[in-house]
Amino acid sequence: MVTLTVNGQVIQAAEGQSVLHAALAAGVYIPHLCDHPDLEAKGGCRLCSVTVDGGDVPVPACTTTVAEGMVVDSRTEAAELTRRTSMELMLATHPADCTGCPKYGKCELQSLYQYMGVNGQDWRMKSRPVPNNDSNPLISHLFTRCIRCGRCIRACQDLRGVKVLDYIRDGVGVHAGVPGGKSLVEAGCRFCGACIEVCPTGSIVDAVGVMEKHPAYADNVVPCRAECPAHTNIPEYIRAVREGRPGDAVAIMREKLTFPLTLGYICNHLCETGCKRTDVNDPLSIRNLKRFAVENDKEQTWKGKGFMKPRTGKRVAVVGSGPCGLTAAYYLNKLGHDVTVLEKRPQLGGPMTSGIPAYRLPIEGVNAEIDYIIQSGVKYEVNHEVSDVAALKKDYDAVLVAVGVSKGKKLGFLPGANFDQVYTAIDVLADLRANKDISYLGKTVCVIGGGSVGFDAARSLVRKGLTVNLACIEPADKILADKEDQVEGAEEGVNILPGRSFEEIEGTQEKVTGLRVHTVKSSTYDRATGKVTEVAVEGSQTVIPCDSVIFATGQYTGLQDFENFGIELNRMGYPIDPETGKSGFKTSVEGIFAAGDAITGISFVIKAIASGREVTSVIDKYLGGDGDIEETLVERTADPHIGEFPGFGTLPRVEMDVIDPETRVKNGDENVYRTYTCEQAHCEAQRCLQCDLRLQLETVKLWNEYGGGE
Amino acid sequence: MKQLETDVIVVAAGLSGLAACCAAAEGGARVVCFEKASTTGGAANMGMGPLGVGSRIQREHMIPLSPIEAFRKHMYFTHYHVDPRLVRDYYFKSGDTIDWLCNMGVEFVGVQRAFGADEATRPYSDGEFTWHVCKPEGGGVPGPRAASGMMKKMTEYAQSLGVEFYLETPVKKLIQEDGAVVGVVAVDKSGEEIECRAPSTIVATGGFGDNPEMIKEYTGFEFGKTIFNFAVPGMKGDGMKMCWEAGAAKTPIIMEIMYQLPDNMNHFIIEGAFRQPCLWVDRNGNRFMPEDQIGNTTFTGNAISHLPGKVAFSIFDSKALKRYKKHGPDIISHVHPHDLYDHFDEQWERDLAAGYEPIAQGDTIEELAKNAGIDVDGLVAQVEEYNAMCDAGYDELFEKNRAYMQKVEKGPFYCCRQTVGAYGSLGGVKINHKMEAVNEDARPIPGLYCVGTDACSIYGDSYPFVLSGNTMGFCLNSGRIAGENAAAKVGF
Amino acid sequence: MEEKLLNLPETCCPVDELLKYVRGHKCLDCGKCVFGYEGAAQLEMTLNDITMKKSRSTDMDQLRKLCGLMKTQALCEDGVELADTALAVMEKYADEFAQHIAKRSCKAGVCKRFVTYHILADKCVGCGDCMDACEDDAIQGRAKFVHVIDQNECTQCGKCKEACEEDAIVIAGAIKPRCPPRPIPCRR
Repeated sequence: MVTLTVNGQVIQAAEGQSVLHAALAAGVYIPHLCDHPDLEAKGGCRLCSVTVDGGDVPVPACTTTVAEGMVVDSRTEAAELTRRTSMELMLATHPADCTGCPKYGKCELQSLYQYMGVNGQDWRMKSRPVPNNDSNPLISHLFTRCIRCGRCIRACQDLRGVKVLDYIRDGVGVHAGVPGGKSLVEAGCRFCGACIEVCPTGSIVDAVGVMEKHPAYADNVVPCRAECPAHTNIPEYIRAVREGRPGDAVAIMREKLTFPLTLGYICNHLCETGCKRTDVNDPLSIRNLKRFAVENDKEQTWKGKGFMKPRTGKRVAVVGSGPCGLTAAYYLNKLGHDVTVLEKRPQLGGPMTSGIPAYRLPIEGVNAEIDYIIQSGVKYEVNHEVSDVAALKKDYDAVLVAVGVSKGKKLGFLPGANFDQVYTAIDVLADLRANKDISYLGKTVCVIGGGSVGFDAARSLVRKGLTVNLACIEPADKILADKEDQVEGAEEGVNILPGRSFEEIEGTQEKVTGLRVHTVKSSTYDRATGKVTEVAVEGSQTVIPCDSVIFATGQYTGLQDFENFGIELNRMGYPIDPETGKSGFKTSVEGIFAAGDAITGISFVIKAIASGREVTSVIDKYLGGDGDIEETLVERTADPHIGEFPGFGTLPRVEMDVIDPETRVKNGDENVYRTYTCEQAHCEAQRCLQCDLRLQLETVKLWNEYGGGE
Repeated sequence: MKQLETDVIVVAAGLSGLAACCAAAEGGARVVCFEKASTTGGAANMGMGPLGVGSRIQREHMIPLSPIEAFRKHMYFTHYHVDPRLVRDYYFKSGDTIDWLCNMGVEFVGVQRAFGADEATRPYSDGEFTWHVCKPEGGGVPGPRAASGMMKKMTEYAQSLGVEFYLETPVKKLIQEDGAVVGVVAVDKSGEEIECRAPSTIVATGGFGDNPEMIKEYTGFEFGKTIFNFAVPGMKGDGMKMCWEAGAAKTPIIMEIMYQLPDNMNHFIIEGAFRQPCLWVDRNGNRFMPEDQIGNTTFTGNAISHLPGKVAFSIFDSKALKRYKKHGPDIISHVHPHDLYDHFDEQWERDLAAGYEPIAQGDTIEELAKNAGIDVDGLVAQVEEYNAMCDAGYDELFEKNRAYMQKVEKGPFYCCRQTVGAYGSLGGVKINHKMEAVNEDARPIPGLYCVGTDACSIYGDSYPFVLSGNTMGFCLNSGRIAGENAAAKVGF
Repeated sequence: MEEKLLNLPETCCPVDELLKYVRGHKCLDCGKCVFGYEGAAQLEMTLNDITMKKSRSTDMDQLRKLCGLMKTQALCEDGVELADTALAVMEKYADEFAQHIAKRSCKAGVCKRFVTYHILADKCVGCGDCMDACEDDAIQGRAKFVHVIDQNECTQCGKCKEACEEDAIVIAGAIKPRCPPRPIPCRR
């Protein structure tokens, strides 16, 4: 340590530290502009001018190294004159009109001229207009506001090594920019955003709209992580994949997720809708990278890592063993509670083992993920249906209702809906998963409903050699299932009939003969009343001949079917928290909690996992814990130097190889896609913009954050 | 969620908010201030100084204007369409407020007026010397941003009085219980909510200059089409909406009109060069005002806002350009560079090549009209008539100052389309002279004050340039009065 | 240091020469430090104003102060050298700078704003050659009449002087020749 005096205050500094950083760290404010904590100091702006040891020529504090006994003063007349003149010179050529600037109120230059109270009116005023450039993705350039501090250039050249930005000389003057009039994509920009982060003025800013989606700054910088319901650290695991460390990638996923493999196959990947690369060309294929990592994780080094708290002696029952229930059970056990999972089916896993078809999700993988949870110490009972949850309170300190929505709905108003050969998709899918005989369906079926469950049923039955029609009221461009399901389903032979309204199931109680439908021009669904209004195409009535009809028109909890489940339910069968009148983690009985699809209605596995994690904290706090389930399973570093990469912006999204339709129908349970090869995974992972690196950069503190100015 | 408790909450740390902070803290109240930006001072950082009437500085400069005279002049200007009691209290406070600032260490170069009126209009449109312009550190000529130093002094003063600032922490809503406002909910940079409770909340969020939807809804202008106003980021009308939701009545809202070019930052020389008393016409080629008034940006902006398409065209010929280059402009702006015309050719060629839409050139009047989008026959006839009047040395239409009656005769001719601009919005939340937000029945909403431009409905239809420094003056004094009143409510 | 700038022939104006030197200086193309780049820009603009008869009385003091700071605060030798040169030229030719700033004259007759063109009545033959040469229509006259230059229109381009075969056109500094205000019949 070195001791020195700055502005009359004795401070300690590290050997080799600059006078500026030493002073700022000690809470002594010295104005500064071109210096940035993450970049090499250059001393170009001279706002940090100080005199040292009574000398009369001011020196920049940013490029002066501390020395024992040094006496530094930023307030001497000579230092003030240098600083003031420098600021005046900058303002003389900076646009006079700050009010049109997107950085107004968050601008370092503005804060500095406010602090110094100077303007440039005594000098010759000049403007150096550079046309605004909004044509690049993600980044807007307004170099008329550039003050040539060089921070963006140092960030791009030295810190990142991308070497896109440089000083540009045009007829009007010098400013930062992209040489040769190239676009950012042409120049090889990697869109890391460091230039935006370090720009002290409004010269380089996020494109309009980029930073406005989330309330928290970090969420706007790394939207993929924010969009993921469990906030998985996506850029970090993609980095591990790129660097050839799939095991580390899985460890990073495992910090937030209990079922990474399952998600690698079937996640609805909200993260990809947030991916900033979408604005450059296409989003990262995050889900497929996850699948690659899990399938290539040979060492499984994450196993056994993380916290395991001492036993608390508290007992918790978890009703339902879907992704939400098992996730909560896993973390509650780690928190020291004694957890028992109660499952009505013969096997654990909920929809993962009894709903989602094998061709989408391999059963061995799911079972391995469930086993890991059980082996961590979670007890379970299968074939145990809970009909009165309140009764569990006798034996348990807390109960979690995570029953999901396991009952299929039929459209009761449809004549014939009560015939024997009318089924629900969820039951058919469960039978398929259990390898039961499904000859009861006959040879030709008609699936009603175009959501992902409908397609799961239809595509599974095609694989069983049945003739499958899938009809839904939505028009072709509004089918609920995602595009892949529609395209692949059609390829496999599912006869998709969009825009159909259902009139009657024809036949007798014992024998269904067909489904009578007509075509609709348009239809609207009123969420409040559940009513559908439609405009029919005249004379479009037809009968789809079939041996059975399968409803895929929604699911419900089924809790209202019990005589008295023991907690307050709404009329749809969802538990409600009487305090808010809505479904939430709390229920009408103290100590009984609810989470997952049982409070949200049908949703996605990732949402259920996130809900399971959240409710864990709530339950733990109720049981006297701190609710903290955060853990680090692998240490990691991210190299800020990402290097040059010509053509980065045009790297195409790598898709997984898909098996041809004929083969995949024939192969039955085999997955439709082939997991990325190492090469494919590397190619895809290197497309990541690494938005998270931007958060490593320090935010420069303004004068008013040093508490009371001088 | 973080919980806080205090005596006075100030929503936003612009000029009015800072004044409220300082006044409330001086009155012994504990003050918490939430600000969206990372700096304090808001739009006032761009200003030059506030109005004051009856200040020590005015007396030192032998300016005899009294608060009651200023009041009368203001009410005459606004035709008594505004609250006289509020206006009265504002002007009577304003002189003392300048002294208050001086005691914080703020220095002023003196007192100015926005501009002296042209001779013919002097009796009724001459500006009063009310504008206290801040002194730059180290001396020198004050210009735009001169008031930023004042914002620093006020911030430091507030900090020294113990005011707690939460920066980058916008207030999202007011908490209202049994009709009374009892606190706010704010969200910090990390997304965490902060609930802060206090007996008084002072809303000072500065209007909706950055909210195109509200501009359209309340003033009819379309941002980027019919108006090119200052859009200080963050000025979304949050505070106004919160006050209305809490039951405050609405007042008429105006934009604080002037005129400016689209993307003027990159076309500053062009903007300055055409702000001259040359020939100004509407889209049909007709003159619409005495051009000697174009230095009055409020009046000119208003006039343009009533023309077809809300546009005007400023036109001069090569002779005039040469004259400007040689002798400088007829009307000097303190905002634009001193050597406008030395760089005119360079910028003009560049902008013309880049297709900058507002500008046009033509070798003949016909060609100019065509390129600029003015009715050709209309402009030709107008130029003929105008040139004849120049020859006669007398403007029969508007009696424009004859010094500016210069013929438009030698090509190439230059034209620049002028559009309406504005500093921001004015008014919205109805208040009384105590700065309490009031409902339709003029009953105060307990615990709620609203100050600054959110509540500045004392100008009627136009900014009263005759009493210059008024926007900052009202912000400062309304904030100060509210701060004093809020502090006085705290029992000790 | 540019020695040439300190040994200027009489036909060169030191203000103009320094301005040209600044305009060609590296500092204006660099931008890496405020005092080098903005300092050079202020030197350029101020010197230009001086040559254009638009100086301010405070200009010399301000430039000296600026150069003093540039000497110690520019990031590299280029800025130091620019400041040294400017200071040396301003000192050596202090009188010429003062004359410009007082708006009296450019001794070398280089700075056009300090000179005016005039047609001498006793030499003009009214041939009209000058009028044809003038691109700014700044010359009035007709055959056998003494031509007159409209000083408001004249841009001091010198084309008329080149065109005149009678040597009737002269350049004047502070002291102007007596010329008719409008065309009058030629005496010759």
